[in-house]
Parts: sequence; structure tokens; C-alpha cells
Amino acid sequence: MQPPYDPPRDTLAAGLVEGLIRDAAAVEVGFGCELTDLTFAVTEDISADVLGGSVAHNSYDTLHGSAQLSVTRDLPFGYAVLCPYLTLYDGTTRARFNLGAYFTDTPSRPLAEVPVTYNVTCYDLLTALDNNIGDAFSLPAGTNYLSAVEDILIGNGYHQYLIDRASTAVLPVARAWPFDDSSTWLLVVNDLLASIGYQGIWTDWAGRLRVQPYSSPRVRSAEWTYDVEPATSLLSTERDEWHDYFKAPNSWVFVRSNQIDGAQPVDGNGIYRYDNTRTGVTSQEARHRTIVRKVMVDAADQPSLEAAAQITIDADTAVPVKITMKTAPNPLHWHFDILHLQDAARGPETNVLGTAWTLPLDGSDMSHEWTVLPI
Amino acid sequence: MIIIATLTLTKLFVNLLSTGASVSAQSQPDRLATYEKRGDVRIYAGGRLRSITQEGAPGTFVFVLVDVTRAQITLLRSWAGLPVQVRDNRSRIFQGVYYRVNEIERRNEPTLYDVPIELDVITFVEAV
Repeated sequence: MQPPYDPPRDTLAAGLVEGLIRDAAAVEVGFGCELTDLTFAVTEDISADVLGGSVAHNSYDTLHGSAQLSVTRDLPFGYAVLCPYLTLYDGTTRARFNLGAYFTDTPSRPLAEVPVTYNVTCYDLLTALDNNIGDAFSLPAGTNYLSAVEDILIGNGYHQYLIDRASTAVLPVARAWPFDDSSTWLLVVNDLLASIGYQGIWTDWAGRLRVQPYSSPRVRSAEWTYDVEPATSLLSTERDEWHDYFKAPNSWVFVRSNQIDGAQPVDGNGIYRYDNTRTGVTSQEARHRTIVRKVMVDAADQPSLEAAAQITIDADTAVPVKITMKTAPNPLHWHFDILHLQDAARGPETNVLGTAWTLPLDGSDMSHEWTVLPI
Repeated sequence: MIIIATLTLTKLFVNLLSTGASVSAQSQPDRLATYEKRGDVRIYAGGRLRSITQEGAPGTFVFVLVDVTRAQITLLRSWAGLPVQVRDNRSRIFQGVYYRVNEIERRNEPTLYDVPIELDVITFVEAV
């Protein structure tokens, strides 16, 4: 989630942002939009020309963020970067929540309307990275993974990014990506990050690209609590839950595909095995059988193999219980949020992983998809 | 010496904002100005009732021009959908747009009509 007191809310006193989102008995929702470039220098505030729309985020999509905006003016659609935002006001405190930065499509122009209204589809800034490389690409042994990622970002025109430099790993052997339809810069970046146990690259609420180590949802702390208390409930009465785990594996074999010197991988050196014997409804104990999944991983070393394996294990075990939910507008939501859910209607309180959300800019309730995390 | 002039309007004036051209006429009493906030009280799980509204409050000004000539009606029809300013004898000023011009025949006045208009208020920033 967005930290509650990240700019532009950094001047607000502690508790005010949570109060606006959760506690205010009556709240007014506003929205706006800025036209910027890739440095996020604001060219123009076009709020007066934006009729409305919505912002959405799906953490499992290749391009996570998207937006739909109705705009009553012409824009440089070929390169415009739009930064929508939402405001909340309770009569005393007003807070602004930036909702990312997006490229636009080239919408059709209805000729019958004056002034014209463009229904603009906006795409995550990762779009510029999702381009085909146009050639084969290779990196020599000894290249620092994160330096290679940074070079790719700069080479693709990005100015604003945050890279967590926790890893100093270098490529143990040369690595190449062939010249084919699927070879995009985004694929290369995510391959490199997976090799050192980092999560896939994503863009944040300010439009910056984020590169950081993967942290299992099961060990992360909850960032927001949703409950059904009379003074704080934000959960809609419309909420559904379903279980979908027929094919979920409960035993994994991860094999390092870039073993140096062609040595045969063995357990602990090129192979990592993991069995979910007792955790959750997909466990071997719960299913009364073992469902094996084998995964080939390009990893820098054995710890990186195990870190990358954990990402897959978490994703596979996260499948079982999903919740679709509507809540009052909470513009702090972002990428793979950890939420604490206290809702007696669905059972004991638990942590859930936010995997997708859509936030209408007109103040309508927002929709979510959550996955219950195994206890 | 400073002279402050006070203009008292005895009629209701409709001016096209782009040119200043005007139509003026007496208006019926009971003109109705309304501002309505868009929002609702929603029910959340656990029975919480919470109001959520949208920024801004769309307004309307409903009035009836009386004894309007055909030439004035032609002008008013040509302004439908364009920004106009309406001033009444209470010094109220509304900038807005109307989309419909009704004409109601005046009894025993074959050349005159009553014209009800519903003005949707818009935000208008004057050039400086």
C-alpha cells in the first residue's frame, strides 16, 4: 500500500489520513489529473477537463496498472503521461492521493460531440519496457544483476526509479535472450530480478519504477485492517468467497538451469525441494495426495534459487481461497498489499493478499480481489 | 469623490457570454435556484451508515420569461447549449447552459409567449 504519510500527505498529523479513509462519518471525494512527462514534471493540470473514470491494478498482470479516463480536450496522446489523483475531505482535513502515472492509448474522436469527449484507456508506465528488444541480447559473466537492470531502465528512457541495492550478486555465467517475439525488455528485467530473489518490477503511486527483494506475504505485516465494527467498517455487504485449489501443487522441485560447468544438479546444489505437508487446505495432509510441480529456474546461486522458489511456492499456495469484495474508497491500495481481515461472516480473522483492485474516481465503492493467506 | 452606481434590474436578463448579446423580459415569480450535492448514505457490513459525496454541487436555475417576442425566442433557441449569464432583479447571477426552449402561447396576445427555461449552472472563469 501507499504509506499513509508519503508526499503529498507528509504534512498531515499522524492519524488524520486513516481518519479520513476509515473513521469519517461523512467524506467528500474529489479527483483531478495532471499531464506530465517521464520525469514527472507537471506540464499542466487538466482536472477541469476530466469528467471521471477509474484506476485499476492487478498485481499478477504483466502490466499491473491501468486507468480509464473521460477527457474533454485533445492531448498529445502519442506520448502523454497522465497522473490521476483522488482527494478526500471531511470538512476539516483534505488529503490528496496520487494514483500512478500512465501512458494513454490513441482514442477515437466522436465527431458529433462539442466539446469532444475522449474515452482514454491508460496503461502502466511499464508499457515502455514491454517492447520487443529487436535483437538478441546477452550479458557477460560477472555482470552485476542490478546494474544491468538499471542500464536497461535508463536505456528505455526512465528517469524515476528506486532500486533496493541489497543484492550485489553477479551473473555466474553469460546469459542470452534470443531474438524472438517474446523477448521484451520487461522479460529480461524480470528474469534478472528473479535470478537474485527479487520480485518483478512494478510502478508505484508516484509513477516510479520499483525494484526490491521479494518478501513472502506470510512473513509481511498487515498494512491495513478491515473490520465490520460500527464505527470503522468499510466492507460492503456485497462480498463473496470461493475455493479454487483442485490443481494446486503441494510438492515442488526447483532445478537451477544455469549450473556452472554443466555439473549435474543435486539437492542443495542446483536442486531445491519443498513439501507442503501440513499448511493449509492444499497441503499433502489435507489433500491426501502429493501433487508435484517441477520448475526450471535461472538463478545466480543456491540461495537465489531458493528465494525464487519461495515466490512460486507462495503463489501456488495462495490459490485456494479467494474473496471478491467491495469497500468504501481506500486510495492507499497498491501492489500485493497485505491486509488483515476481521469479518465474522467469513470466519476467523486472517491476513489476505490484495491481488487486484479498481477504484472509481467518483467515490463509488471500490472492488477488490483478495487471496486468503495460509495460517 | 467616488461615485458608486447601483444598477437595479427590473427585468431578467439573459446574455450570451461570448458576445454579450442579451434578451430581457419580465419573469414569473417563484424562480427556483437549486444546488444539489451528489452523494448517498451507504450501508457497510456491520450496519455502519456512512455518507460519501462527490466534490462540487451541480446547480440549476429555473425561470419563466413572460411576454417574449418571436425574435427573442429565435435568439434564445440559437443560444441553447452555449454558455450564458442570467441576472435577475435580486442581483443574482448565474452562468450556465440550457438545452430546451419551451414556448407557451399567451392568451389574447397573438405575438407573445411565455418561455420556461431550466439553466444548468457551469463553472465559468472570466478572462482577465
